[in-house]
Amino acid sequence: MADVSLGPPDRDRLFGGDGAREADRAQLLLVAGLVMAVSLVTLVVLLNATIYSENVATRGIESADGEALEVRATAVGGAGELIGATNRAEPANHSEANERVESGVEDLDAEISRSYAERGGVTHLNLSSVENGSRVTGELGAVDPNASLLAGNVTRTRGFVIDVDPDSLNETDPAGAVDDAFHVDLNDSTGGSRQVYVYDGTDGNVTVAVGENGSAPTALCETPPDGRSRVAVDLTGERLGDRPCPGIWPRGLVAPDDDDYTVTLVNASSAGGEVTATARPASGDSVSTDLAATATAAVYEATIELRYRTAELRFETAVRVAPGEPDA
Amino acid sequence: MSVTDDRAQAHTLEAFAAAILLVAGLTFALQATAVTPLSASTSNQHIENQQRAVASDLLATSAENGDLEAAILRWNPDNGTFAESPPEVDGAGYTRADGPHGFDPALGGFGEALNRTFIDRQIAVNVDLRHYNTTDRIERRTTALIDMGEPSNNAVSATRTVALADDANLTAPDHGESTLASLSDGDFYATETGTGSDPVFAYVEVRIVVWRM
Repeated sequence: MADVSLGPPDRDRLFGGDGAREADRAQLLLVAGLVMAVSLVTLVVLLNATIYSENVATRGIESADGEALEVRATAVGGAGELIGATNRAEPANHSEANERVESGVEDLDAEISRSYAERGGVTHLNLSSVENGSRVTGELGAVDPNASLLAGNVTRTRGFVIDVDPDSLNETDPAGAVDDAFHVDLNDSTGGSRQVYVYDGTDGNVTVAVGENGSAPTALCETPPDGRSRVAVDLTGERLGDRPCPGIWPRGLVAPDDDDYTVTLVNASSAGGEVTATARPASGDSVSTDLAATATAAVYEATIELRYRTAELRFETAVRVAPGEPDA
Repeated sequence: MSVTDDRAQAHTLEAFAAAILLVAGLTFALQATAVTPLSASTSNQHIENQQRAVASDLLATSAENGDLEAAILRWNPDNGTFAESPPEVDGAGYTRADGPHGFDPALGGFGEALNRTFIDRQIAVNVDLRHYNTTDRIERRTTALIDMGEPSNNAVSATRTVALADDANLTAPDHGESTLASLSDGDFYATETGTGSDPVFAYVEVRIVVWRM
């Protein structure tokens, strides 16, 4: 049987001896090793925490910014659609139009308040002011073929769209457009005029050309009809069909410029389709037009005050809403 | 060399071994959770920020050019689903982007934008439409326009509210002449919240949720 009995106590191990100094050094090294390991790990953890905190802090600011802009976009989009729908519904007079917009903004306020309350935000929307105008619509075939006043003495125009029938357009070129093509004349009271011509280019495309003061125009954009019965020429939105066409609307007639100008349809017999525009008169509530039979009272623009508040953010702004107005 | 000298060296080695063990243990523990595109990390937060910004901008541009409104009006009142949604879907919306054209045919410009921005980059999308059920706005209901599954923990969302007018036409084939006001109650997924002469039919909050697949 193996001897497993304990031997006598080792005096050197218990009380130190010749090698006691070396044993202390080993312990020191052990402690140093542990300290180094813990220090390194702590350093890594602290560094990571710093990067993380900085990142989270930055992200917080970005998302808060986006939220305020989102509220603003919701308010502007909702109010814009409200004004558009109110005008399309052809209110009997301006006071009826204003009442509808006012109650609509209250409803929009209820919607936004309820919606953002779920996210811990408080919103308030208030209709500050309304500018009246007229919404003029008409068939090109029904207007005076020589010259027809669409809107006289106006300061602003928005949503000016002509839905032309591509087959009905006169076929011509820029040189012949002055006499032969249907065009819109924008006559600025402070001097100068701009003509926007719409005609069938020799290749069958719907072409838009722009001229100044009755001179020969320059072709700006064209689009193939592609079998469509209507192609939209958006003068204030500066689009032809579904593509942008910058340069149609003159820079001098863009807000905040408040020059009076007159919009006239010329050579209307050279094109078929419908015209729609909403304009703000220089004085009074309604614009003078030759298409009075189809002109209705309209709200041109509304100014709304918006407040949005969360625990971290306070946002307050007044926004002017005029959907379809040319960009400055 | 005496026996005590040997023991000191052994202790030193033991100290180093202990330190290495500690560090190795911590390192292993840190590495045990693999960092994937879906795991929470500082780099992942940047990706989330980018995805949120992209989703928000996509909604803004689609709302501006009318594609968003056209997509949410692509409702077929006859069978109570979005037009041309896959027939095997047990729900109202679209489940996935099929084939090379993805969402294009069914969702028009909005679908095309989703394809270009997210689907082509292996980013999944859910689009929910949230609307109130009564004019009192007590309960909010959700209709899925696109449902590609359960979002991961790192999904981000962006929202945009679209106002639908009474005279807005449906964009579903064969229903282009139907306006929202002309539909019977319950034919459209959203209930009319506008009161009396209010020309707005309802406000629909479009919420887009994106996450990496």
